[in-house]
Amino acid sequence: MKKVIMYLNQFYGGVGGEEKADYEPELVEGTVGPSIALSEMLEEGKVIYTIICGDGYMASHTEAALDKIGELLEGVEFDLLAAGPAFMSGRYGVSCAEVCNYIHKRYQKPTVTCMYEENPGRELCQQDKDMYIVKGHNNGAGMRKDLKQMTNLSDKLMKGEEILWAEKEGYFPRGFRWQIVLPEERTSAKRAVDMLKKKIAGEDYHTELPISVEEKIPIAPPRDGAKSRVAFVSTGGLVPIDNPDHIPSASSTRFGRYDLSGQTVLKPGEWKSVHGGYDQSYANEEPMLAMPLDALRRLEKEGKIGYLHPWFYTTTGNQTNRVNSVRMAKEIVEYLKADNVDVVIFGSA
Amino acid sequence: MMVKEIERAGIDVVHVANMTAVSKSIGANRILKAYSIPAAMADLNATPAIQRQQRYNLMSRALEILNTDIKEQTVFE
Repeated sequence: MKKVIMYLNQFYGGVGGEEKADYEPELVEGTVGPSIALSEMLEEGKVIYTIICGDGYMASHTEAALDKIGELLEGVEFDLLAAGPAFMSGRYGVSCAEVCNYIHKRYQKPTVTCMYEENPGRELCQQDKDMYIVKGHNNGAGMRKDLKQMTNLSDKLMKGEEILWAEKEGYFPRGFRWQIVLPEERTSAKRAVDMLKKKIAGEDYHTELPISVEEKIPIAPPRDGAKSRVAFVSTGGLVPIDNPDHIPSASSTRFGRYDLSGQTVLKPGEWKSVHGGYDQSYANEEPMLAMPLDALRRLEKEGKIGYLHPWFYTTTGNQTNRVNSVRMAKEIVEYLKADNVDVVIFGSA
Repeated sequence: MMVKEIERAGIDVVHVANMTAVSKSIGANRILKAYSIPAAMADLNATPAIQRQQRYNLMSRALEILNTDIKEQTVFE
């Protein structure tokens, strides 16, 4: 029977919600929450230990968190690490990626994690032979299915079976190419002609050689703030206390735009954070932890900021998808251009 | 994603973020490490007076970064 270690965040590890996001890594013997289900589904192994760590702690103290995990695993023998599933939770996805990278590097053991395709953790997971990210659902309702997918791949890895290509096994492509003989005889010439026929017929077809289109924006030359028109935009979820625009706590589709003309500070009691991805109590007590208006005003007064655009733009970055992010940014840009803003200081949670 | 879209429109951005690796993978160019996730702009354990100074220093730093010549995506701690 092979031994599996599972990594969970504080929420799925049953420690608590956002108020426990700073929870330091803990090694629990046996199973907790999702690791119970994973362990039951596995044919080839069992979960012997569950690592639990707060998402906030991992994000803010990555090195210390990973060192601690290394200490906790001292003398523990295992065959595979499973992490997540992290769904669309950015911090959890990033944590899973960090832990997989660390474990794979330190112990050369295979790692299996799972997250939604837009989770930023996907980009951070190293691409190595024995490291897999299973394509997951975007919220906890898909837990069972995600765990099943993780189980299938983990069993194959532990059995030493051949892992087939990404689409076949349900993991995200990692950019490795290798030669295989397909089960049924379909040479590349036949496949290419099939693809061409589909293309001509206007049907869906899938290239076998996708070309990455992730483009970089050219780096702007240095610019003097004293000669610039500056605006502040935030995804920290800070809104007026009554949240007049109903900015949601997650998966935002809209932003708020609030006039700060003549104001030099944001007062507690007049603002609150609606962000559902972190403990909001600090920002509620001191809104300027999310939007540093006093500092911006002081810099404007000192002439270090030429002009401060009077409007503050705000939305929730929590689980907000690519399409809505791009659209909201375009809408904000229109307002900024109308006031000839040339610099944005962008604050994220 | 929003940072990149704003930059695409020709507006320079300094991204103040705690998860700088995410910021980099998404494509921000000038990245400044924030204090923490729930309190980006100052240390949440500090006194109000110290926080005020930290916010000012962080925003001053953002302006310095804006005025720094970089050749590739850069994270400033």
